[in-house]
Amino acid sequence: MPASETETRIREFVATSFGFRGATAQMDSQLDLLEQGILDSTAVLEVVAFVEDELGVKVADDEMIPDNFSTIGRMTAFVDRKRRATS
Amino acid sequence: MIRDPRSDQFLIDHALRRHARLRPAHTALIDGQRRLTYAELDAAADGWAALLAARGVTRGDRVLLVLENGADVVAAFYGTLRADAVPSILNAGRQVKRLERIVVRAEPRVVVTNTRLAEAVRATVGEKAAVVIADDPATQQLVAGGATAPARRSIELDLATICWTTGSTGDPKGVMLTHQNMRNSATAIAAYLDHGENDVVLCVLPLSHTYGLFQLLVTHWTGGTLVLERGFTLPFPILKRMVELNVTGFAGVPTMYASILALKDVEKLDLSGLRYLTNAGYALPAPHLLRLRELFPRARLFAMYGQTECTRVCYLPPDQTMARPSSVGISMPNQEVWIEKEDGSRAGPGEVGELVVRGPNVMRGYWRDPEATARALRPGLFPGEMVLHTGDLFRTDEDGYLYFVARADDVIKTRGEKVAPREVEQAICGLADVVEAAVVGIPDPIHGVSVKAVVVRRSGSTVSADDIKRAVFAQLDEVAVPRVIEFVESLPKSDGGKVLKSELV
Repeated sequence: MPASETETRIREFVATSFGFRGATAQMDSQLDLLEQGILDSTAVLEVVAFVEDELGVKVADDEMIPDNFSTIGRMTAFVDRKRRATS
Repeated sequence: MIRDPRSDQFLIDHALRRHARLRPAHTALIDGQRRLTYAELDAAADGWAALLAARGVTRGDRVLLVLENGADVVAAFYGTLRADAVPSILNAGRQVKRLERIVVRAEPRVVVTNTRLAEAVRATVGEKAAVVIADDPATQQLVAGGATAPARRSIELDLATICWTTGSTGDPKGVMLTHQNMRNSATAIAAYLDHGENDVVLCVLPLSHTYGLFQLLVTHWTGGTLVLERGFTLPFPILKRMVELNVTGFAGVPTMYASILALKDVEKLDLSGLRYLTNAGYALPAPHLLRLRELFPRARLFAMYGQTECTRVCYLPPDQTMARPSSVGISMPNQEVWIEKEDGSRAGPGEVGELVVRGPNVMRGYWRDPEATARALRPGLFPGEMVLHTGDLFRTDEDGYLYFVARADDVIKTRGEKVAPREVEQAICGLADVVEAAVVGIPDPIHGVSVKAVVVRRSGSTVSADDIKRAVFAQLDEVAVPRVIEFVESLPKSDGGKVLKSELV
């Protein structure tokens, strides 16, 4: 299945912002970015800001959990779910 | 020789034995779903001591613990001490890259790690030491087997840890701390934090640093409960855990507090049990300080400053936070500090000089490095005693409160970690097409200081900022990766050809 536009944008953001830590544009969408140390606490905040400002999805405190932010696949699913809920 | 067994009372690990007798069923440690009482942790420490002794570990041997925060590293740490040996906890993330150099210097008898890291650790350690896998079922069975620890010979002057830090050349430096050093620091910190057996401390800091390690030691010295987390990436799950376990104390660094303050509804969480917050590594920005006070009105906020070489130096009493937000306060108990000017005289209020520390918390020296030791430890007030010259420049205000000014050498302290500019410059210059590079620290509101690299490329080169970040990350720590990279035609230099770093900030 081709990657959705949301997934492509998130992947691009992660790869450009945190590329030096090993993130790439070809990265597996199931790779655990938190466990691999590609995202640290400051980086997660940058991802949340990107999701809110660029993808237009508000992130509540209790949504900032590994289930929603540990992989690119989970971030995409989270954004899609939130968009469906508000549309 | 016959050793009086009451010598045990002077050793840092005696805290476990004491509380295992007083309140055996009290929880000593919470690691995820795993809970250990004082009696259980005490027995696990004995199990580790027996296991290590069976591997040939004897008094004074070094044991490296390459493990993430968790029950295993705590039991193995205390167990190493009970085997009269010297543990070093190494950060399972960052310090694996430095492991080879530390192994060469420390010459450990045993390296303890886990299944996840086993392959990398075995490849590095080779035949130089035995490797024990902590989470291997056979190890767990041996540790839980109710073994009796070998008879002790240590007294409080024996080494209780070697803490590996980064020196100005980037080489690892082993700070030797004795049982006496650690017991004194734990007692002094417990005194100013007013710590007791009902405290529940949540520790997200790596135990490889003294800031993290002393969350463990202070809590157990006073009979409290330690909640250990692997780290701090997402703030919400940590705060939820604090509510769930009714945590009374939390130790953080400014990036963590910045994450907490980025949450939208912290007020909705019931964190009324939180008695104190501590900050160290570097100063909190004043607006964050104010906001934390609003969010946690019942928690006392302690700004602190320390150095691995003496663990902790000073703390700002919470009633002074608003009056002197940029101060790191006063000396902790049972320790004396002063500021020395270049001519050796004592600095008056407002005058800048090097901070000198005198106390039973001051390290024994750097492991097998007499030259570095002689630079740091110099004759003190009385014949034979040594005091610590910290290499940090300080001043006081009219009332005697301490203020950090800068490092005396060019080591950059960013996010609470030391980064040697020379090492970063070498990593960058390893790239083809880089002519030269200079690395400096620049002020940063969240990180205290940020790493900046100024790079000269060969003309027509396509070396990018990303290439530079990758090169540094591949060789060094995440903290050493420059946040700001500037490409220039040439570096400003003195007549003698020395790079004028002050012009690059």
